[in-house]
Amino acid sequence: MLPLLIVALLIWAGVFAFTFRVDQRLSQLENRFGVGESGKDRE
Amino acid sequence: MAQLAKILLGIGTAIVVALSFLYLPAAEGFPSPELARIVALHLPNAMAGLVAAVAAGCYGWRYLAGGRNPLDDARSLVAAVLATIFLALTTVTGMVFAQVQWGQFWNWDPKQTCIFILLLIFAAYFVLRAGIEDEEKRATVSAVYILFAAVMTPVLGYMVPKYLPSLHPTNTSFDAAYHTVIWSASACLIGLYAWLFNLGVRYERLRLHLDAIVRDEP
Repeated sequence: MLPLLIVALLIWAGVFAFTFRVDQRLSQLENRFGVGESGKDRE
Repeated sequence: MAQLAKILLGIGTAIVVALSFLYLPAAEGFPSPELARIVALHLPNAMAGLVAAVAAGCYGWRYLAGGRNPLDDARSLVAAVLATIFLALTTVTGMVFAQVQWGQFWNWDPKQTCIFILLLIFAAYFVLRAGIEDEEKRATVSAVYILFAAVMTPVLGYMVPKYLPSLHPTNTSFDAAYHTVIWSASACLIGLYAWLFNLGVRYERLRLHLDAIVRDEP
């Protein structure tokens, strides 16, 4: 059961890290084009 | 979403994953008691799919009733994409469970048949969107269709299979540990849905903004 748990945790870590990265990249783009909440912060 | 909420979601989900392996007891009475733990992923996916489908319908309604805002159409689309993903994951985890417990990946059980029809209904939504070029017309027709899909989700997912003879147990009584893990996992997956929805809507907002810039250029 333990190897399966480690695989499951690694999959979740991958999904989380990818989503977090996409979120950060999107914030950068929003800042660049002045769109959404991140963009408003810049303005 | 605040950064702290995202980090808490990440840690919380990791804890729930660990609990489903270390805290959940094997479900006695199943041919494979250890693998019955997959319900801790199967049921929460179904709940997140239901939430996403209802949200898609609500935004479709808001588009039709609330001034035809293109962003409501985008919200409806993003929620529909997520509903399809969560329902597909429900189907896949259900198939693994069916293989282990009933000996076949697919049995044409009423629940399996109903979720298959539901996936086809959502697939038709994307085909419909792809088939209409005019943006306003596409948004209006899609909003009407997604309302139908949203209504059909609880009907086909829960109501119809309830009244048909099924391989799915009808008198399942999970013990307290299963309830704790299933509800916690549902909260985590709905949180993940909210985060992905937020990302999708922000992406669509950015796309609409850039489209408008390109259109306005001489």
